[in-house]
Amino acid sequence: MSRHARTAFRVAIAFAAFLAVAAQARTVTGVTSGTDAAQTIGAVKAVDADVRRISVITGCGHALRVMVFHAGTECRIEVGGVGASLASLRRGQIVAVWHREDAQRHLAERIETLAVPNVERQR
Amino acid sequence: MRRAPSGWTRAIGIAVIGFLAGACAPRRELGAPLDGLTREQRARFVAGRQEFQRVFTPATGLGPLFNADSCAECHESPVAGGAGDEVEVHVAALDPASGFCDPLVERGGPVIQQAVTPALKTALGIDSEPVPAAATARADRSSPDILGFGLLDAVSDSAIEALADPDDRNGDGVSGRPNRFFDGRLGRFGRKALVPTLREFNAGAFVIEQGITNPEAPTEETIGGDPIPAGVDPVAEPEITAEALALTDDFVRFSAPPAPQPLRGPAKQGRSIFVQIGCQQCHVPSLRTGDSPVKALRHRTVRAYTDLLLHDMGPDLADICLGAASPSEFRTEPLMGSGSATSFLHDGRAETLEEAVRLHGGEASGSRSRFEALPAKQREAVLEFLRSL
Repeated sequence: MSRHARTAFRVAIAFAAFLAVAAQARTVTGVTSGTDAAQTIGAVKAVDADVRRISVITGCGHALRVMVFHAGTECRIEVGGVGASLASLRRGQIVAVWHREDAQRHLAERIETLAVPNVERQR
Repeated sequence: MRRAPSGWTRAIGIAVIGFLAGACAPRRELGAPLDGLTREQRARFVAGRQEFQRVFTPATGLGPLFNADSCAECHESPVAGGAGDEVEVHVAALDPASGFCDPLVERGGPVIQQAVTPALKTALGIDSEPVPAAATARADRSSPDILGFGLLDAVSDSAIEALADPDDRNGDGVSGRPNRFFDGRLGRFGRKALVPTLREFNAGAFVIEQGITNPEAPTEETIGGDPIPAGVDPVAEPEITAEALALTDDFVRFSAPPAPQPLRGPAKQGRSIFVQIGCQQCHVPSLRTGDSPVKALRHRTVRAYTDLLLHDMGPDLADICLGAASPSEFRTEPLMGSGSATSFLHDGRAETLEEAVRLHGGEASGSRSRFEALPAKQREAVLEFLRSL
């Protein structure tokens, strides 16, 4: 193998490795929904099952915010790893919400309750 | 012929020189950076202190609701990063039926700003954010000294959890437990230990204290839940850059804790009594930091006198709930820096250290009673020790 061919081979290997790492990172971002949905983790503030709406407390430091999600009938909900209804979610429960945005609303695709304290510290 | 000094004479001489050198060694100046920072980190500490002292105006983003126009307005005495005499207002609503603690975010909580810009006053005719009618409790919060908090940030979650004894299994009447942020992460900053990291605490403080949005807390506070009137806050979000936030954070992170006075005489005795009467059960003398990308913060001992856990302090001190913290639960206040403080407890109600000790209740009742039962000279020794920190 010539010197140029060896260099090209190494570059190709490095590029393939980069693609593999990038693909893995994307999987982590999309998490279990398998999509590019954003993820928000917070505590349930209120649930209105009639209008399919859930409010979640989140924020940064003491600058707390409430995010309101529309959880349509197609939204998958799990409590303790088991399929559940929106109405079964309780105030104070910690949930992960995978959501997309449209012009007016945050649309929840999937909601899962999380077991505390199994959440890693983020810096 | 002169005799050469004996081994004993030499040893005593070395000990005397060592003692004098130790006694005369300059103590680290209050407000100084941590030892062991790199040159670049020290430069960021100095630049960050300027950001910390930067005074905002409405034209540079202040408000429209705020408590202070700079970080250093509250954390000011005796140096930037020290304590302040400002007292702010927090609110929450506790549902007794479910036990759910509502921080009243949709009503402007949990922090109620005490000042408004002239434009907001003109638009709404208010001088401060209204306290929501739904609040079941209101809390005053004094401004603590935050020197050395980078070391507290570097203590691992597991080190804090190891100190917890939520069910008081050892039967000593003290049962610390960690608070948790709304996403479940372990909290440690704030008087109720709600906030998991120093960075988040600082980014959030820019917004709630100064009305300064930043890339990590990009939206303004509401006014009691209502949006800000058009034209009142003309500066586009975020109102400071990521670098300005990072520098401010580095100033706080890289600040050294107050250096305790060398212990002698009564203060030394006071430290022993402090332990004997059980104060150290919550005011754990030292914590060890874990791994950190900053060498000066990595695997260090911080003599903070806290366990960063929540403890029930009794009904007389109780105010708001926050996260998992009940109204009467507070994080053990770090005692480092007590020597330069001029008010004590979470709301500054105690004017002296002795008054603060006497106001302890709940889990601290036993230690307080033992303190009160001490002869006056021994009580003074404990206070002398606390003043040395």
